[in-house]
Amino acid sequence: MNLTHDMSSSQALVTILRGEPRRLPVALALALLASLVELVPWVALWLAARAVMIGEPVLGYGLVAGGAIVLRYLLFTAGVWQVHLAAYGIIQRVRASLVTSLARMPVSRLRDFHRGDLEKRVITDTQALEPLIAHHGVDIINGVIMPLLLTALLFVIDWRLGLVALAPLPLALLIQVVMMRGFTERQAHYNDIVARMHEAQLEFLRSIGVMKLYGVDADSFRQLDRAMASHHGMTADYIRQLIGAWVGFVTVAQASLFFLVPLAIVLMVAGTLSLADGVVAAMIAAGMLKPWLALTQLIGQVSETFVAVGRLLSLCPQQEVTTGHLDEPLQRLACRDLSLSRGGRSLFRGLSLSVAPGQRVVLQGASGGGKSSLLELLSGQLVADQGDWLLNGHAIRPLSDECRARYVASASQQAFFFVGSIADNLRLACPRQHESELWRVLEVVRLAGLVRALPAQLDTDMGETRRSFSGGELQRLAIARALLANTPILILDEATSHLDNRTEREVLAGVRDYDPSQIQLVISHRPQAVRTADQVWTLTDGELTVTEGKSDD
Amino acid sequence: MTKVQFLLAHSGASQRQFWLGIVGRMGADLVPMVPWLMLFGYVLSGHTLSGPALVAVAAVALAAQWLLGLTARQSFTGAYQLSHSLRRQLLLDIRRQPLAALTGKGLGERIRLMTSDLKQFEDILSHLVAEAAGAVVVPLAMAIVVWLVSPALGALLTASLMVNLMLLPVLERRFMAAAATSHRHGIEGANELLEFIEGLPTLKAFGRTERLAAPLQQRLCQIRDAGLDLEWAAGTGVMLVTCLLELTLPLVMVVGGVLLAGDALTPEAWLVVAAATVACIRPLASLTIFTALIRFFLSATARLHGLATAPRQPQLGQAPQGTDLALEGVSLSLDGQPVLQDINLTVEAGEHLALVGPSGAGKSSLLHVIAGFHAIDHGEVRLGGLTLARLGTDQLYRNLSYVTQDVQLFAGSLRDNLMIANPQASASALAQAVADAGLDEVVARLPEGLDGMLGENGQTLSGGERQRVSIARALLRDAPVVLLDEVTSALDQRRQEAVLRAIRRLCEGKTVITVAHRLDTIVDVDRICVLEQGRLVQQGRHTDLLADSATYQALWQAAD
Repeated sequence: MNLTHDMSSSQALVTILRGEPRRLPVALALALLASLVELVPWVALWLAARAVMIGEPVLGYGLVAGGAIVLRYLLFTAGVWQVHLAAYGIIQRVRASLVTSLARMPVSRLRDFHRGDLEKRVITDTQALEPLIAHHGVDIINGVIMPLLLTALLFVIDWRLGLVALAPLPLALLIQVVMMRGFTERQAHYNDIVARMHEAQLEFLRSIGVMKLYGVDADSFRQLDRAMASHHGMTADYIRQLIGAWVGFVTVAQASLFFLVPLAIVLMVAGTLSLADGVVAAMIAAGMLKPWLALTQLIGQVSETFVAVGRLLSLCPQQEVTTGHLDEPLQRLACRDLSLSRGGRSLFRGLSLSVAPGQRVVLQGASGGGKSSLLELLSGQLVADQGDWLLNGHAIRPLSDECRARYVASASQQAFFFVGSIADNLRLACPRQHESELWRVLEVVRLAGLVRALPAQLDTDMGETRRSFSGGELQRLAIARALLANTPILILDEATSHLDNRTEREVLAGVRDYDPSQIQLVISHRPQAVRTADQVWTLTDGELTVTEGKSDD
Repeated sequence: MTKVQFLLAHSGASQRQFWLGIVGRMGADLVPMVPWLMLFGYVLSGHTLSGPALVAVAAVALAAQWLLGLTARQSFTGAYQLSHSLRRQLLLDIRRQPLAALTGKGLGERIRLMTSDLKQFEDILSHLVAEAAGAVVVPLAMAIVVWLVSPALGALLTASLMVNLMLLPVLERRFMAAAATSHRHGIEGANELLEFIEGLPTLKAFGRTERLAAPLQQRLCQIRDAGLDLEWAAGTGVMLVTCLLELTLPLVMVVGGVLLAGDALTPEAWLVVAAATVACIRPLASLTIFTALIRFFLSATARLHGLATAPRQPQLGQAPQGTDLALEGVSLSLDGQPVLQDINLTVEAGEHLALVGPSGAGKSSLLHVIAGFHAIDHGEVRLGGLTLARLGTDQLYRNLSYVTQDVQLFAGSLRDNLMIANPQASASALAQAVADAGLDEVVARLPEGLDGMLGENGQTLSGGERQRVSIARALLRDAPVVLLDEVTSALDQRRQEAVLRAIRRLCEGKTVITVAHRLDTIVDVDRICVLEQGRLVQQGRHTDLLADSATYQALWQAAD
């Protein structure tokens, strides 16, 4: 499934439908065949009616009609099943490709989306494909073919009755045209109001707890109540406007019987139409135009699918996915001419730096000054406006996530841990890491005792751990996870902020000893961290000054 | 069905307009009987009106159908009025639920209730009820015609329809089981997807998006398969029933033929019966789909019913006389597990009380009970001599501040989130509270300071910072009773001291109940209550408990 950002909704739909080159045509062919077979019981019924009037037996016609009904349902079921297989397969593949797109999306772009919004696009908007693929195709075939066949049969029985039965059609179409005038704008306006009401309700439900705690829930409810009242008023207006025309359309579109019966009776009285033909013609005409009626309602549903597909496309890859590769031991980390601005404000411009293996750098500077951003450029969370970090002189931006992650690991102030055990989370980077190594690293971050005291130890569920661990303990777990990645570069971005002084000192020392050749880039607001640095970078107002660190010993 | 009636009555809106519309639309659906009866009358008797008279009758009938059809306005506006009133009433119900039900986990569930479930309920009323009712009237009238013309064939037709009717519940059971499985996979999938999205920055940093993407992809395949199972169960059921329904026609044709041969039926009567059978069956085919949908939607109704009948608290009540607290025989269980058992406790106005005990002893739950977060099983909680039933939540929360790390933040600026505690607070009072609670460094970090937006439920704030927001709110609120769930382990030493200072300032001259996780902060409180397994086992001052209570000694030693 190669959906890209720059496709139109219809291009995307064609690409999506091409994903099922066999099932869809087979399904449509089966549906077509089923519609053809559906005519057989009607013909049998007509012939049986004629036979009855001349005293001939009807058993044969009955059996043919029954057989045809069963055959038609078998064909139809097979077609519908095929088309469902296709639809669910397609939806699953579209979702899979969206998940892959998300996995490859730059983190900076990912942050533009609300989590709930992403979830809605991947789950709900893709589901909108189901009616289009699984129902509309078959519905359209059935809805077009059946009235055509029945009309033809009616003309064969008596052409005058056929003409009369079709008479409501132009009238209904006229009403339809009048009715649909300005419909799109009204529909858009209506959708807008519904969306606003839902937004207001969502905000109310989200904040009702705190509102109630401070006794302001009454105000909040009044506001929502106003939004709901205006929504309700609009809905009522909309319904009133729409229904008059809609009822007219539906009534006229199904009026064939009212037109046909008087004529049929007159013709029968005049002796130019047999009783059998007249009654069968009435039966055929009674519901003949109904499938066409259903078709007109499809238009709105199809356009909804188009809108949903449009929303999906904005998640699809914008540019070529980076797949660059580097496989050599790290000799030097540097950055050249590095510039970054965020929210229109320049954080730093033209930075050039260099670090050799085994060095620890501590970054200092006012909060909001760009320390974290400088390191996030290295860990791939941000993309520079200009310049790049260099590994042995190779730019980092073209590297794939997998490749870059073999060089850089990081722990930050707030860590994400996924559902699973502590061991699962520690093994994130290296799934086959030996258990003894996990314990050794837990020792380094001073967590071994705590984890050993848990009943399930390393197998303790992470949800439980998150509840029983303090913020500082979770931070140390994140540092342990980053250490276990065994990368030549480690970033600790305020990763010790919740630790007390003594523990921070111990952890920073242990982390240094764990891999003496590792480049360690540390942001900490405490002065004691600086004492462990080989270099100190101070970022003030976009200017970076480098000073040699003074080691404790 | 009684649940539907309950919800309709619960909405408080008049149902008259709605039912009037439904009856009108049933009338409109019945009008096509006029041309049919004209035709049957002629076929059976050979007599009829003149041509122009026939046309006139048909034209009048058509006009009547259009006019009756216009009552759809009543059924639609009536339905929307009902669902609008119901939505409003349910929101009022939600407002009166205990706070524990309003925060945290239940949010997603409540959002689903108020959006998709309520939408389904609205759709039943506005579309399905009328269409289903309309689909029944013509088949009924036609079945009567068949009975009148030939009782034998009438019985046959009725029997055939009954078989179908009895098949429906059997097929439905299959359908509901598949629907439950599909629903479960859908929920799991949504949760896994949300976790995946949340973890993406970390996973990408470690180059291991596969770790969560692989199980998610597998889940997507399960969702597909469960969806197909559901379609198969529902689809084959509907196909089977409609197929059997349509086979009624050949059956009537053939049996009619037999009756014809035995001179028990005239050829004209055969024609009428055949036509009536076709007209009877056609609308019923759509009914099988309606019943499946209505069943499906009834489960939404059941969930809404659950919401409408959930425990509620009164909102308005009397002002309390004083701020002393009394708990008498209070028991609480959550999810069927006993959490608190027979707690008796009185707290004088101005007293400082601390709750201690091993984790899981029920300390925080006791605080929650005093704050009215849960509906209790037994016993009474009184503030100033009044139970919550007489006090109402408005008065309760006017008199108490609850300080916790689980503070709820709403979309808006930090300023909005603080000023909610006291909208009349002056700028200087706000600045003082921000400084006292140690929030000034958060303000400094946000690019727009106090007016910086907090993002999705304040994700940008750490646990300690959220607790400080809670303290600042309590300082601004200045309520006479303070409930304090103390979490200081997430703070560094320097900040911890600042926060403790702020808490001391907050507690001056108030009635205070503290859940203490660190015993060194409560050595000087007036009274310490020791909880164990949901029971209040001992109370007294620090030195007394250290001498008497084994549990307290163990806690004290562990803290060292």
